[in-house]
Amino acid sequence: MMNLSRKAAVVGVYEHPTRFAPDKTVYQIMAESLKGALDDAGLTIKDVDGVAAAGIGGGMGMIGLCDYLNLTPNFVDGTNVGGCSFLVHTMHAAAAIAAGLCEVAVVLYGSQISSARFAIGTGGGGGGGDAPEQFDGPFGVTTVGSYAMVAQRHMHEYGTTSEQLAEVAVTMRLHASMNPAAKYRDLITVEDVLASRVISSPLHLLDCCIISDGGGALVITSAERARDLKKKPVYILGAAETVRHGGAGHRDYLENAAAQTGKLAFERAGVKHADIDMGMIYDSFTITVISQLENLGFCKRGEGGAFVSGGRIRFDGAFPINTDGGGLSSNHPGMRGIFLVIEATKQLRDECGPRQVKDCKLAIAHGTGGALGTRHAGATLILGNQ
Amino acid sequence: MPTKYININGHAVYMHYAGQTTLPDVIPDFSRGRRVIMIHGAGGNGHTWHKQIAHLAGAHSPISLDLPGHGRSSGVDGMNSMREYADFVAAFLDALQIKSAVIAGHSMGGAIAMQTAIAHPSRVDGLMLVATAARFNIRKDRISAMRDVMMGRAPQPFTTDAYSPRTIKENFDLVREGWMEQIKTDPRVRYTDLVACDKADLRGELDKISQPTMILAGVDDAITTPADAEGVGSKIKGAKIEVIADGGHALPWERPAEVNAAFDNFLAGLK
Repeated sequence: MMNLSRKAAVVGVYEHPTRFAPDKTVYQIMAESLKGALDDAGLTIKDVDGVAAAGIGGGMGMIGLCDYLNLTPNFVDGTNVGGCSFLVHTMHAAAAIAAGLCEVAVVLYGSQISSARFAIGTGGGGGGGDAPEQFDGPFGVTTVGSYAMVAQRHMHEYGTTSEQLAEVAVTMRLHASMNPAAKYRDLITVEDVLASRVISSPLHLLDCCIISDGGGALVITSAERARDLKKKPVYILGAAETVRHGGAGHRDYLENAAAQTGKLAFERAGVKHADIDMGMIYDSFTITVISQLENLGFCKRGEGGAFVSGGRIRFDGAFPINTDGGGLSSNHPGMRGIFLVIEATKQLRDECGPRQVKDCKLAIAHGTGGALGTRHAGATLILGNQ
Repeated sequence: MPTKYININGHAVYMHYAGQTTLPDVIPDFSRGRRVIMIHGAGGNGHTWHKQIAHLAGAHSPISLDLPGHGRSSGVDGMNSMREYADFVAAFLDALQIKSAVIAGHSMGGAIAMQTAIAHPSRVDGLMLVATAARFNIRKDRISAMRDVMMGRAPQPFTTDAYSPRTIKENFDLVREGWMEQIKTDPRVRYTDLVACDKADLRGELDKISQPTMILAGVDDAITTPADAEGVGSKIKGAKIEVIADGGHALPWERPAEVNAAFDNFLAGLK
């Protein structure tokens, strides 16, 4: 089997600075992001021969997007597995480049979920109306409800506390305070999180990600071509994707896709957990971070609460996580995966200013799509600058 | 009623106006009668003035805007002081290529209008102040209640204190409509607006205002009282005060007939 490690690199990234853009369309946000990422890479739209995107409306959104951007790509990927779609696209783009299907692939995202006043977490099931939802949808479970059950189970099994969950939110806000584009930048305390109203027990409002508009873009090319471009290449060392579900009734609330994709990604990258300098770990809710860290193998099951406490996941802590402020404070336009790759890339290029992680050489990005505790997808990327 | 985005310092500003629509980046025709820029209150949006825009549309060129961070304007932050908002109003006039205009302001918007007349006197032809004050007397529990909403400690409170007893009794739908407009703005911006209003104090500068000025107050307004209107009117030379019966704080949409008639009179009397 072909090993993808170091065959492709992220050479351009752009995070759209908007958090509320009712004046723009999703396509505009994508186009502006694409321009930003191509400028970052020192490439032009004429160089692009691969396109991946998710979240653009109807089932044939990729056709309209290519028309809008006037692209006739040799590689198209419209995979939509929720929030982690863009990690999946990155892996697919690397595979396509390694296989010679295309040379320069772009990954695009744009969303106006905040200006559309869309209730992401509380507005219905997390399954997006999929067939299996008929069995749980009628009973009223929401996205936040599924995550809350994971948190409840974690507390029941291991004695994890609301204070430990709150540590994640407090740290994300600290990081957001160093990101001028972040939506919420005023520092908060553990007490603030605990005093915020309960949305779905035991998750408080400040345990939940924010809702914003936003978008971003990635440019991915071969390792060979990457060496001649404007910025230092960030190599894709290991990648994996999967889908998890109820397993025909054998549901384990505390195991998720990260257990499978983390193991594979580390094997494929040929690196160890101790080698990783920072993590971009999808934070739709505070429990998401704890549960994914455990499943990725950074700590044992049940130890996630202690792992995130005491400043350990701060930008200057033992294992920095979500240095951009995450979905909990910076931006969450519905599907946040692309920002995990963008911030990891910036960290590996030493571009993060006051929130820069020292000597950052290896980063992991892991995302979830759908909802933990029920049907979901997961994808892991391990990125390095050497 | 047409609406349009206009770009100011990288922010897309949503404006409501009257007359013909135009293509993007083409400024609409504002040549009818007086140009009237209408500024909403704390946490509000340009919809505050929809009954005035509809009324003034025939004879004048009324324009209201959603201040930064409010309503449908882009961005997530409000501004920190009346001065910042006043400078923004001047930039808004620049963007529309309007040399000067009559500025109408409701509540915080009234303070912004006065501040604009003080800081940018050549841009202001007259002031139409509605339910406002030179120094707001905001109850501390009102500020802390909005902070609790911002911090997720409390749901957005439904209040009726901006309306007269008669409105509450006879037209409660209006109270609901006003609340639905307020919640279109992020609680954080609504909180920072209240803090900015609490800090504002224009009492020492009102004598710098020389433009024709009219002031409307609601007899039942407990937020900015007729005494507050008197406090403003007594310091602006020639200012005319009118107190509206059965009017609360929400005058522009609570007592539109009286507000529209007062605006007509004032605009007709301008030289």
